Order: sequence, then C-alpha cells, then structure tokens
Amino acid sequence: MMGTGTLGRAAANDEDARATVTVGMTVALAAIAMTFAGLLLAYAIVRVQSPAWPPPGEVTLPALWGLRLGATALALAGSGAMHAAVRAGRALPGSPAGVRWALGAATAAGLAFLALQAASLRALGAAGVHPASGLAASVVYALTAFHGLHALVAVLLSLSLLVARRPARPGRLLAVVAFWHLVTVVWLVVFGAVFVA
Amino acid sequence: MTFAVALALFPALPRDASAHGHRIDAVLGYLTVTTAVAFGVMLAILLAALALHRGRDREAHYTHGVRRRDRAVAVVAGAAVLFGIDAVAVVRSASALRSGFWRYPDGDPRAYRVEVTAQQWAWNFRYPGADGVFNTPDDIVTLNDLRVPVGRPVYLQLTSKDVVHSFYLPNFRTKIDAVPGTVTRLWFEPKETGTFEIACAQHCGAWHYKMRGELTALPAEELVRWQARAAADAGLRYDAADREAHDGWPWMPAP
Amino acid sequence: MALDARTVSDDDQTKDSPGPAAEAPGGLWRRAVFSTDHKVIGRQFLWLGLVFLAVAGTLAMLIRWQLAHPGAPVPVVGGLLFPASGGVVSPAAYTALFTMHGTIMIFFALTPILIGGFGNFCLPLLIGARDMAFPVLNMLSFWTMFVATAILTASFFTPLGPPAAGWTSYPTLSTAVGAPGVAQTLWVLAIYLNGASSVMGAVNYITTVIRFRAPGMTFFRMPLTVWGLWLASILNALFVPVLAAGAVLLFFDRVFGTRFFIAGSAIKPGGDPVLYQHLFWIFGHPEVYILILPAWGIAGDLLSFFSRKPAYGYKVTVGALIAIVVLSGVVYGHHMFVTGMSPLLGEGFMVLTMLISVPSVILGVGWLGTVWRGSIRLTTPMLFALGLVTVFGLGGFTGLFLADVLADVYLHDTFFVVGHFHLTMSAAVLLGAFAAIYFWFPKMFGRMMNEPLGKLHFALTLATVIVTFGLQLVLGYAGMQRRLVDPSAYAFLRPLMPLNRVVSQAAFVMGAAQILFVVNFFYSLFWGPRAPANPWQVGTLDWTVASPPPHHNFDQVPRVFVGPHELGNPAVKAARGVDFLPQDQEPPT
Repeated sequence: MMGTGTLGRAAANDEDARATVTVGMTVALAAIAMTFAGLLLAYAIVRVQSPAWPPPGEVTLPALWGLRLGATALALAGSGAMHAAVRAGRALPGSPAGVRWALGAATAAGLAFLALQAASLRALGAAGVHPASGLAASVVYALTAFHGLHALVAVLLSLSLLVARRPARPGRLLAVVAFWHLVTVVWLVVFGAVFVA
Repeated sequence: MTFAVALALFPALPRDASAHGHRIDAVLGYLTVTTAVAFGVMLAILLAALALHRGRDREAHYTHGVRRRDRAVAVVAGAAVLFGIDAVAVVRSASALRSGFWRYPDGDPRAYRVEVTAQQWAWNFRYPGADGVFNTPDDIVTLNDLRVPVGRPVYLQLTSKDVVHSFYLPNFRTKIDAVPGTVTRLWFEPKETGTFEIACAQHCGAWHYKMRGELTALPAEELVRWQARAAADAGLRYDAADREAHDGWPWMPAP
Repeated sequence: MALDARTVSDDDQTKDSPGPAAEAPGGLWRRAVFSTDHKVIGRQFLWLGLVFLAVAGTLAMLIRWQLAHPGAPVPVVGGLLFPASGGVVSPAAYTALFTMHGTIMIFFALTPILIGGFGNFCLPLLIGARDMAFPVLNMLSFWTMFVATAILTASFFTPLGPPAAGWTSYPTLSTAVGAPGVAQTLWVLAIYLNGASSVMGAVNYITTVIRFRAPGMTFFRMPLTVWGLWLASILNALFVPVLAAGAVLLFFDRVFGTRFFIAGSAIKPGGDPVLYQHLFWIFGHPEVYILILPAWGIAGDLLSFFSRKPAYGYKVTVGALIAIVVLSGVVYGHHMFVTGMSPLLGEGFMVLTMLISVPSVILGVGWLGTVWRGSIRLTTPMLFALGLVTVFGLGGFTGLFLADVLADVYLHDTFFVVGHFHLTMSAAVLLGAFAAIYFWFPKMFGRMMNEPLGKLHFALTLATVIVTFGLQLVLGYAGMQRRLVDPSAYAFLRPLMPLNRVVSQAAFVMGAAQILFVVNFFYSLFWGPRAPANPWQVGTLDWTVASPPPHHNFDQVPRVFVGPHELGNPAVKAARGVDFLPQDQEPPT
C-alpha cells in the first residue's frame, strides 16, 4: 500500500480508488477526532481543577437517562446498519438494493438520534438548566451540540447516497461509513466521560 | 548579533534593584555571548562560501554529504550547541528558579505580604494592616501605589477582576500573570530604596499602555510611618456595606 | 520507508485512461473560478495571499508610524482611516491594528501563499502526478478559505470596531467580558473556516504524497520541498483541529453564554481562562513549524540547485525535519511560563524546547554543507534562500532565550519576543515565499521575472528585515513590552523612543521596497520574456514540462530513476554535456 500509488493519475481501477480514499479518510478522521480530543481535554482540565463535579454551587443537571441511553442505542444501531451496508456492497454480485435498505435504516436511526438529542437539550432547558447555568451545564450543551452537528452531517451524507441516481464512486460509501462510525465512537466516549463518569 | 552589540546591550537592561535579578542578567549575558558566537561562526562560513565558491567557472564538488566525516561535522555542531549553550543555560536557570524566583517565602516570618487585584486599567494593592489578616477593616488599600521594605522578601498574591493582566517589574526582572478566578504568586527582594515602575505585560484592552503603577522601596522606619498614616485613612474609608470593595481573600497557603 | 517502485510496463501507463486532455474541460466557471486543477487553485491561493499580505503589511506601517510618532496624525490616509480621532491612531484602533496584522499575516497571507499556493501548484508536479488525490476537495478548500477571508474582512466594518483582542484572542478579553460586539465572534468564525480549509488541504497533500508518487519516486527521492509540505500537512491535520476546539468553546462562550473561559468568583463558579491558552498553544506552537517547514524545504532545494551540487546530508536533513515535527507537539508550554504553572512542568517544557535546537543545527549544517565548495550562482531565488538561512539563524538562536524559563520570565511579552518571531516566522517564511515566487514564477506564468530588479528587492528587504527586527530584540532586552500604543507612558521606556523611530524608518523602507516586487511581478506577468521549460537547469520533475504546464501536467507519467539533486556529477557531465540529471532520465552507467 505504501508503493508508488496510482501512477500519478486517476485510479486505474476500483481498488486503487478505494485505497486512496482510505488514506484520505484516515487523515480526515484523525483530524476530526483531534477536534473532539481538544474538547474532551478542555472538559478534563476543568473537571480536574474543580474541587467537585458538578462544581459546588452549580445547579444539578437532570440525568435524562432514558433519552441518553436511547440516543446511544440508536447510535449503535446506526453504525450496525452502516456496517450491513458495507457488507451488502461488497457481496458479489453487488446488491444495490441491500445497500439502499441498510442506508435507509442507518439514516432513520441517525434522524431518531438527532431527535432524541434535541429532546434532551429541550428537557434541560425546561428544568432550568441553560448553557450559562454553570460549567457542567456548559460541558453538556457544548459537547452535545457540537457532536450533534457532526451527526447531522453524517445523516446528510447518508441521505445523499440514498437519493443518488448513479451508483456512488467506489470508496464514497466507505468514506461516509467511516465518518459515521467516528461519530458513533465519539458519542460513546462523550457519553462515558460526561454522563457516566 | 555581534559581540560588540552584546556588550552594548548590557547597559540597555533596566537598573537592577533586586537581590536576585543578577542571576537572570547572568543567564541573559551567557546566552547572548554564546548565541552570538554560534551565529557568528555560521555567518562566517556562509560568507566564506559566497566569497570562495561563487561563479560559473568553478567546478562544484560533487558529494551527498554522507561520509563519516560529514556525519561527524553534524554531530559536533549539534553537541556544541546542546552542551555548550542549552545544557549550561538549563542548569543555571533551573538552579536559579529553584533557589530563587520560584522558591516562595511561605514560611518566612520576615516576608512582607501584599495582595494585588488587577483591573482594567489599574493595580489595586491591599496590605493586611495591623492585624496581619487580609479582608478585614484595617486593611490598607491603594491604587497603583505599592510600598515595600528594603531588604525583606516581598511576597505578592495576585488576581484580576476582569481580564488577564501581567504584573511586571522591569527593575526586579520578574513578572507573573494576574488571572481572573485564580490566585498567582510572585516574590522579590528590593536591595535598594527608590521608586520603580510597575507595568502591565499582557494585552488587556485599549488602555493597557496606561496600566502603570509605582513601587516605592522604603527603609523600615519610613515604611512604618507610611503604614501609620495609611491605616488612619483606611479606617476612615472603610465601608462595611460595600461588598465589592472587599476584594481581598484569606492568604492562600503554599500549594 | 524507501521502497522500490513496482515495475511498470507501457501497458499500465495507457490501460484504462482516456487520452490526457491538453485543455481543461468546461466553461469559464468550471475552468477558472471553480476549477479543480491544482495549478489554477494554487494560483487562486497565491493571489488571495498576496493581496492580504499587502493589507497586513499596510497595517504594520500604521503600527510603526504610531510607535515612531505617538499621537501624531497619520499622514495622507489618517483622516480616512481614523476619522473619529482626527487621523491619529487611537488606543482602541491600535489594538485592532496589531490584532488584524497578526491574524492576517499568519492565517490569510503566509498560509495561503506557501501552503495553499505553492503547495497546490508544485506538489503534484514535483512527485510526477497529474493532480491532487481529491481535486473537488481541493477546490472546496480554496472557497472555504475565500469565505473565511470575506468574514474576516467584514469584521473590520462592525459597529463596535474590528477584533482587538490580539491574534491570540485570549479570554477573558476575547469573551463578552472584554470584547462586546460582533467583530470578535466573526473573528472566531473566520479562524474556524480558515482552519477547515487547512485541514482539507492537509488531507489532500498527505494522501497525494502517499498514493500518487510516480513510479520510482521513493520517499527519499522526493524534493525537500515536498518533505516540507508533507510534514507541514501532518502537523496541520493533527493540530489545527485543536485550535478549532478552542475556537468552538470561545464561540459558545460568546454566543450561548457557556462558561468555559469565563472566570469564576466566590459568587458564581466558572471556567478557566488559562484553559484557552492550553488549547491555543497546543496548536500555536506546531503552527509556527507548519509555516516554516515548506520554507525550509524550498531553501534546501534551492541551495542545492544554485550551488550545482546535491543537498548535503539529504537523509539526515529529513530526519532532522521529522525530529522537529515530533518535538513541536510537546513544547507548547513555553508560551505559558508566566501563567503560574508548576515549576516542574516549566522545567520540562524548557528542556524539550531546548532540544529542538539540535535538529535545527543539523538543518543549518546541511545548508552550509550544500553551498560549501559549490559553484554558487547568485540568482534572485538563491539570494532569498541564503537570506532565509541567515535570518532564520539569527531568529532561531534568539529562541533559546525564550526557551529558558528564567530569561523568559523577564523577556515574556516584550519586544524581544516580537523580534524573535518576526525574524524566524515572518522574515524567514516571507523570504522563503519570495524565493518560491521568483523561482516558480516562470513555471506558473510562463514568463521570467526581471533579475536586476529582483536582486535590488532582495538587498533592500534583507537589510531592512535585519535592522527592523534585530533592533526589536534590543528594545525587548531593554524591557519594552508588546502591544503598547504609546511606550512613553512609562518613564523607563522613554529613552527608547529614538530607537523605536529607527525601527520604524527601517520598516518604512522595507514596505517601500516591496513596491519593486509588485512592479516586477505585474510587469513580468504581461511583458516578461517567455520562459523556457527549464530556465534554472535543474532536474526535478516540474522542470521537465512546459512553462506553464499543460492541464494534464505530464504527457506520459514519468518514471523516476534518481534523486532531486543530481547536480555536479562528473559522470553525468561527461555523458550528457550538462551538469544536472533530470529525475526521469536514467543515470549514465
């Protein structure tokens, strides 16, 4: 794979294109992961510096386990569906219908995830917890919202593949799926670090 | 930088009125001389190459620079800088920090304590007064006016009311940021009397350049006389109802 | 890592690919505006960068005027720019000037010129590729930069004035506490989008180098320019996102009232302003290496080309570049020595920062060894490369002062820092940008620039750079802080005002000297002599194609046989009659 690549021009075959996309996606995912790493580092620093968590004197945050666990389950389901899409795409002969079903399921799961996340933010607001309510509230709002934006992008990408007339270029599905999995993994980390810990 | 400029730079340092500032000056001087020499060597080789090896009629010496001798040159140059400049500076600086600048006089009964609250765009100084406790009615609070004794360690704790400022004493070779929500520390020991400037060294808004205070180092008896005068004023000015003015805090213990 | 290319048969070259298009497809929009051709995108970045270089340079002239003549109205343009204060640079205006000067120079001038401009134009040509790995992403990265630039420009014209919290934008000055108004929020948005553009570019450059090198172009046959761009892209991909994280949190603090950086008090617990500094400098320190790595690479190549001998210690140089890249990630704390960090942490950062001097010295040995016993041709690109080496040497050594915690306690936030980073970053990087422009102008635009005018531009620029920023080192040594609209407010700084005037005079000459460059650039663009394919007579793949190259770059994808610096080899001279071997020619047996 570390050879001199695709002869300096457009890929000669699908496998070449997939390899190029794999390299590119790895870099892109590393970059996006670093943004979340920065945010989580910020969370770690303020949490370690605080005598207690939530910091003393701050409004207590409602746990909202139902919404959050539901969102996590949907994230996992979405990734599962995406994984099925990849396998359907690889099965010989190719199964465009199978791919579309899996993409549809993943998109649905993603939309439901976004709905639950929005609901959780609304529930916080209803309980009197706003971004300005304190540091713990800030962390929850910021990470939920920023992650949610990326989840939205993932859903939009998945939709774009669903509605496309022409079959996607090789590697395009892989790229979307890889991003989707990153969004899921980041959510698991955020869930663990912010809501469980 | 040439050697001559390096020597000429020494008078450019502000007057050193502190007991420990000379250690910074020594490190600055060492770095100036050694880096000037290193840069001078580099420049000399470059200029020599331009003088000697220029022109179409010259035949270039074909080498990739991979022989043992070439590697030895790199090793020697790297080692010279690492051991001749870096290591010496690190050792001298670490020692000066541990035994001086960052060795705060926490247990020292002679230490003269002041709390500093920076704000846009002035320095508030709070002296503990006769009871030795901060944030009590007998505190002396001044604006931009820091009075300290000669020959005793002066120990400051600092915070800010609004944005990040930096408390900078050019004549004592030291500075520390004043950060809102945190308490930072600084200490120094004046070795001569006089009035010196306090400057802000962190961009804090449009009037950052005007954030100037005055540090006056006084002999012990004069300081006592000043404290008596200032304490009388403090008693008059104290207003129990003005919570915002009570911006002192219990002196923080060593971390 | 140096792998032999797999054997390539003629069949491989032609199988599956349609005949290479000599002309780009599509109408004007697709060809010139939303082009996916790396050469067009490279030129777009170059134009954007050069325009904003001029803007930031003008802001610098205004800063220098105020420091030389505090309180005096700015001649000619004062009334237009500062009407509310009678043409005088007010304290608030001054803070906006240095903020925007720094922001634009780093993010909207040097980055687009070196990385967006030359990175895009040269990288595929240098490795023998027809285009970048992801041409559409490439086009998007330029237009993202364009939008970011538009937002930053808009921030100049907001009701409460332009962003004024410094290019570093530290909270709480940059939060609603210190910077009410929409300008600072626009600044955050512009920086975020600029970062997104850089990351897109990094994805492209990293992938292209890994996957699209021509057969035979092993990693150790790549020009040093490619190494510089590739390593800079790795740093871009890893660390710009951390700036994005800081920007996101600052944006949330400003717009949604979160409390990450709003300091707490007894009444209301809150966040930590210093947290931002951690996030910022985790990015900020690698950023300075992101800026200079391409310049180092270009210098390494140019010194070889114009000494007519190979780069001295190519592999060791590459090793030094990699070492610096690795170290750059773990030294950021030296920007925060006076924030009250633990002494142990301070000492750790001091030692790690000092270590960078070792690979830097290795780079210097490489450059000196390249010119030593060469057959030096003092063309304009060579002069700028030599100037880069000189100025970086001076600036680099001053870094040791700031790496040393004790010295830094005194020198932090003084003009010593300003002199240091202007010498290293802007002077060396700027000189590198000029070297690149003079060198690749023939390839980009098909014409030659004027040599005598170029040499004069070089001489004036080098002299004024050394005087301007060298004297700033002296000002800092004497204790003068940064970001003071009027240093004479302090008694201990009043004796330095004459020196400030000298610095400003040198800066004004520096600014004026750039007019020579502008004239040369535009005149040559239209009326310069037509450039041959290989005016500099060097062997890298970009000079094996026409000036400017056809749309598809190479008629046939080249096969590479030798390294990029095969110059001065007597066997080659005997066999071919010239003193260099193009990379796509077999060496004489």
